[in-house]
Amino acid sequence: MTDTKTQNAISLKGSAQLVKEFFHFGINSILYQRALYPSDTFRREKKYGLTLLVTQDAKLIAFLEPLLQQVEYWLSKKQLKRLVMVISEVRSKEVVERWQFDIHTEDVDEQGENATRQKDEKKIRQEISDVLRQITASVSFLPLLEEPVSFDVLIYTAKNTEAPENWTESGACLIQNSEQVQLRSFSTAVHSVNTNVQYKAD
Amino acid sequence: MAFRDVTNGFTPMSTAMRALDIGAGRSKGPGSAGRSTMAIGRKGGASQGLSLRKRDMTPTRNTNIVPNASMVGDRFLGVRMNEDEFDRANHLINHHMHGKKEDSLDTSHSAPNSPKKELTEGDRLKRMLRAKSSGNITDAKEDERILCYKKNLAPPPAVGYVNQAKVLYSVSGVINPASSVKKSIRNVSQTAIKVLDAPGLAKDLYSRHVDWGVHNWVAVAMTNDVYLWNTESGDIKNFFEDSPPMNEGAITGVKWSHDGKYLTLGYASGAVKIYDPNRPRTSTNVRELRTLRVGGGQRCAAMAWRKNGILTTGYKSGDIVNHDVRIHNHVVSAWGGEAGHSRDVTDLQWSADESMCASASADRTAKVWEERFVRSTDNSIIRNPSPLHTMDEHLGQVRCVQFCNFRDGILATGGGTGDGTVRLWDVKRNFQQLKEISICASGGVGGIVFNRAYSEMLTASDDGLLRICRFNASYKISHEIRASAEALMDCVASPNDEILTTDMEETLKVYRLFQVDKSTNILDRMQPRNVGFNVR
Repeated sequence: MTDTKTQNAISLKGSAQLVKEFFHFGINSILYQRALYPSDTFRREKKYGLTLLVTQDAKLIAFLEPLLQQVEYWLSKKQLKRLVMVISEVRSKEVVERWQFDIHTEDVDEQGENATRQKDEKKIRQEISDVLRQITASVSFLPLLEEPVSFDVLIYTAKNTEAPENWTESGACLIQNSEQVQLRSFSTAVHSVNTNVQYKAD
Repeated sequence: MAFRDVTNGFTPMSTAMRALDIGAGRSKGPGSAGRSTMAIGRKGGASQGLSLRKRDMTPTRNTNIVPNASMVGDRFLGVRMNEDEFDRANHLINHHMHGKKEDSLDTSHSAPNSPKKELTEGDRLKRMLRAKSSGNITDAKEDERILCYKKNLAPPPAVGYVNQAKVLYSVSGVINPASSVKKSIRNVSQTAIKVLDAPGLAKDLYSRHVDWGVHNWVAVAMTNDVYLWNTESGDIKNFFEDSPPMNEGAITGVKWSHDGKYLTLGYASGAVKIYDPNRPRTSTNVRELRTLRVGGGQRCAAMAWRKNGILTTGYKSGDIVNHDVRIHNHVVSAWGGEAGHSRDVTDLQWSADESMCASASADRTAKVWEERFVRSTDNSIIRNPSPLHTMDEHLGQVRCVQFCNFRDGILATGGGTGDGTVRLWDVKRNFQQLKEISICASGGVGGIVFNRAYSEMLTASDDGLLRICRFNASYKISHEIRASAEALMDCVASPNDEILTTDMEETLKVYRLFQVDKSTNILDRMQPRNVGFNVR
């Protein structure tokens, strides 16, 4: 009995790890599905019962790794409110797509009585896989990216959060006259992540 | 009634059950989220009939704000974090849609709307939905700050990478399925269709003597003089009207602009002069528009135009300079120094999309330069940037470079004496060598021409032979044509894929090697033809 109980208990730290993992696969999926990088620079990886594509481009990995580590840190400190992946055209700098992940953190302490929440990890993985599946499916309605594009990652945090090295203040990079599609959400019982994608209409 | 066809069995009962199923089965996890989903389902069930009559419209996929979201199914079903937001949206929609009818006593929602109404309900709804995504709801709140990770520093994909979806769905024909060209027998005429005598043609393998313009005027440089030859009418004109400028030395490079309006000549002194063939002669200059000079540059042989008025020139010193011919201080960037070439630049080519420039040099390397180093944003001169890639595998001087015009992302470089190979590089894969093709054992390769209709590569080499090489898995040489007893110096293609060669015997020859059968659909695939790209 005690075994199952500890297995299903999710701490803030563990939840941050799960969400970071989701972002890792989510961002890679978007990069692959939206063809920001050549498809043969990605390798297949089994995860959440899906075959996901993860980049093996050394430069890109070196770019994403510190980013995700910082995100995990902020998640574990309950400071991350939103993560946005902005896709913009290289030449005109115009934002054409915006993947928004709203993060809602439950009131959980880092230690002590109120440090854990109950949720089956299998269930969480199932929910995450549903979101990733939707990201893959979204290619069918998102407009074709005609121009060369690049991406940026924005983070919404509390005002008092210190900006580490490599992080700079930025605007929201909103899209004028955009269409928005709400995707599924998932929750680790500590963090709930709500995904939507906005794109330039016509 | 255990088995039944449920495809059309959409009774209110099953809708309600589906809604319940959504709530209970899948999204129960996210705590409050699950409950609100259920609420959406129920609300929809209750007010569905009324709201349908009220709006009389098909909900779009964005209707997750609309109360009757259960109609849309659960594919894009949103999850509201709190009910307040939901109620507010409901209020906004009803408020806007039935703007004037705020009187709570007036319940006749089904009454027809005033005909003076400027916007249809659909427009209003759309406007509201769209405003939501660009309005302040998505923006940061008062107590939030937005941070960006390494702004604009995401590593770019390999240069020349084209979104594959774009290739699939666009009509420009970037990919040309070679398999569709089924040719069992390919007859190549071994004889030239025209032979011209050109006494005075400089016997210099590092010079460019001819260029074929899009208007079918061929410019031929003979030491100090230039002749224009119209290949359609056969007219020949002396460009300088018997008073060629002698003070700059011999002409070492000839180049038409893409549109054929301007002729550019490179001189042994390093001067580059731009001429307008239609300009009347003056007492001092014949048709000259301007002279581009750079300090220390000697002998300019390689020239390449970009479409936006930038002329890229390569000099004997190994320097490559970009000139903006429209402005007074014409030098916009200089590619040289440690990372640049150390000896003569022999050839320059811009890729079809002008994202990169390939240069060949007598220092046994070929280099590829990025477009971003052409011009700086603040009008300063860019000096000595690092090339994108250096190819130093050739065993002799590199005498020519050419981008493939039918297969995306292939660059060919031709080696000079002592090398005699053509090497193919994959631009998209960090310039991996795709293939080394031995062309000529005794000499070098002077010119490479790609043919789109046949997916073939033609090379001109020092042993006087033209060789045609199939672009399939084996890259086998399929035909050899004896063009001269001496070395071939230039090899250029016309807009109609005729081949013009010059050789050490001081003759010009035109070959028609890539004739297309007009009765087949091969011609269709050639439209739109990339005029100018083939022209050196």
